[in-house]
Amino acid sequence: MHLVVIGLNHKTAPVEIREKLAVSEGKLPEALEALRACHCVAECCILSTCNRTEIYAVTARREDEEALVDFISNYHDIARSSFEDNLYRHRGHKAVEHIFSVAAGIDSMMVGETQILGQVKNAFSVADESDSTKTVLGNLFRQALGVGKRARTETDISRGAFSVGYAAVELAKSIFGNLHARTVLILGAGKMSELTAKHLLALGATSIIVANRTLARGEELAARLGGQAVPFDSFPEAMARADIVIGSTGSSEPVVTREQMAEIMRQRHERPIFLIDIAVPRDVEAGVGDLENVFLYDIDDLSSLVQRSVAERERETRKVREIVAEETHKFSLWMRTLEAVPLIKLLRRKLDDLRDREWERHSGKLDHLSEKDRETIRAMMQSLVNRISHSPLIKMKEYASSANGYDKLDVARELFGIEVGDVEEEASEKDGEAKK
Amino acid sequence: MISTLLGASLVAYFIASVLYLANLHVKRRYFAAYGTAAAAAGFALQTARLVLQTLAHATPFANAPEAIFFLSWAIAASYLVILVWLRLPAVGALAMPLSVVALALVYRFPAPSGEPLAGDAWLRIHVVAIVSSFALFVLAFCCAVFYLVQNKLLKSKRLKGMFRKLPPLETVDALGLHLAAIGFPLLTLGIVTGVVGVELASLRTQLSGIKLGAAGVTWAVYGAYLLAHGAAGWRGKRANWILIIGALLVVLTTALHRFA
Repeated sequence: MHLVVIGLNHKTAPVEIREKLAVSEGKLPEALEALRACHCVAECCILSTCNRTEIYAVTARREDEEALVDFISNYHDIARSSFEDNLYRHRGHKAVEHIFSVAAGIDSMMVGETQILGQVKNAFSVADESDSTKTVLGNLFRQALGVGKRARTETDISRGAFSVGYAAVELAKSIFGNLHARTVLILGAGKMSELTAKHLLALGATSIIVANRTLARGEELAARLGGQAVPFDSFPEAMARADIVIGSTGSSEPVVTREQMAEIMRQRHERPIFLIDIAVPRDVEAGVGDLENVFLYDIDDLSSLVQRSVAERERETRKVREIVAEETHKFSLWMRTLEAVPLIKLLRRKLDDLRDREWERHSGKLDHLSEKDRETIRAMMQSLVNRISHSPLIKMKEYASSANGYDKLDVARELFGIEVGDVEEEASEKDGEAKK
Repeated sequence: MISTLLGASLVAYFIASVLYLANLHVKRRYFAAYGTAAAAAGFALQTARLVLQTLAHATPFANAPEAIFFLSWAIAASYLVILVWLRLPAVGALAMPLSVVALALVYRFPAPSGEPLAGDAWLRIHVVAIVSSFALFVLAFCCAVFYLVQNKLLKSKRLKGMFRKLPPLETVDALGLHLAAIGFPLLTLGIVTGVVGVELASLRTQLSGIKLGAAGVTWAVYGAYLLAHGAAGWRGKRANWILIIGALLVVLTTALHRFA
């Protein structure tokens, strides 16, 4: 049995290649079916996001990996040579470590992002529904989801702001509590302000007002966000109504002056207002931030918030790696129980013990025989043990090198009356020896 | 039994206070949950004590230690209601220690000599109304403190550590307003019943005049706060400072009652 992950991600492949090898969610079942058509593949799962495409598979032998690469090439109709250099291959416990790191978010472009956990879950459920995963990948993915959850609850890997927009939303929440029924005013239609407004909308803000110098562009953005556009010059009236203002005009002079803001605050009856100034040069005079109940944050304030949480998250990766290592060890141990080596060792030992015990029991009655005869009997017993175990041992080795052999090995284990716990112990002893 | 319950609830509240304060300084959230468990346990013990005391004595809240015990209970009760309603365990970091202080004061107040004005309905209404309003004002004070701290952190852009645990600015501002708005009519009722039932019945002493004066000033301060917040649209720092001044007057008025 051979566990492998073959794939590429944002670190190994540029977007031009990643987009060619991506498998959209709707096509996953079909792709999995094509993959299972390769007879060497016992189990498979495809994880495809915008930053990575990976095939997890259980095959009989290591050489079967080539069939997986061929599959990628055939499925996407791309020559192997055009993407082969971007591929990584992780085998055995390295593959386990890889999926655990992916699920924990430390392999992501944005360390600690939470989306990936949902994507892993989704990839697994699609594969599970089409019966592409069985014992090994089933356990692997279930444990990976557990690792993802552990990383996020036991460490701060997913805390804090991921982007300027996110930082702005966090601040808005600490000023207003919930953003339900809040009004957002956008000064200057731009990509950044649109993105930030979308974040705010997603969290419950209900009305959007867009004030743009070119009314037509403002109307376009307002239509996209489901808001209303107003002429740029009437923005002070809109500010009297809004709770959150996003400034991103291209103006070279500040658009909102301190005097103007003081007047607006009077009109608002001092209701607090959150000004997000992401324009460079800035849209809001710095002195505005000194006014009571005005909370002014410019692009640098927000970026430093993001940078700080990025740095904090990166410090957390060490802890997450520890969790990943611990879980990988656990899983590897379980995988060992599926191998033939510990089982064969245990079986041999069991038969040898039997032989020795029988000799102890009966050797007393054989005292009248000469030493030579006694040796002959011992040799006979040994030969009998060897002959009985010969065929099962050969078969067990054979099973171990076939893709689905672990099921048969399990039967063998039962037939010879060997406990799962003993196999695990044997496997971990072997681990210990390897470490020494 | 009754005094054991008192001690036990004091210990539980103290543990809750420590956990809630720790919660503000650590990233993990479970400190708040443990704090709430301790606060709920303390509240159960205190409620049991309140019930037993009421059953044992015909007139509850009739003397100073009982009134101050009731204040501690009312602070805890209001805090737990707020917790269930708004999920703001941060408020516990201030409300619980204040409840502990009130509870500890029960030991400091002189034991009652006889039953003053036993069975007087006026007195009972007076005490319950005044003490309930004081408990609400104490919580409004907590909100004001959190408002001012959070406001300062947001203004100075120091958004680390405790900042993440503090309640949102508008939430505490609105909560402070609501608490004062409920407390104010209770205080009014308390003063009126106090004047009618107690002051007129007993001899007019100089002390009762001072007490009435202090209560009157407190009443005026909260009235001014509500008026400023509601009608004149006073928000933010200034309004919340009034809540803090009001709470100091509450303490003063309570202290004067000690000599009653």
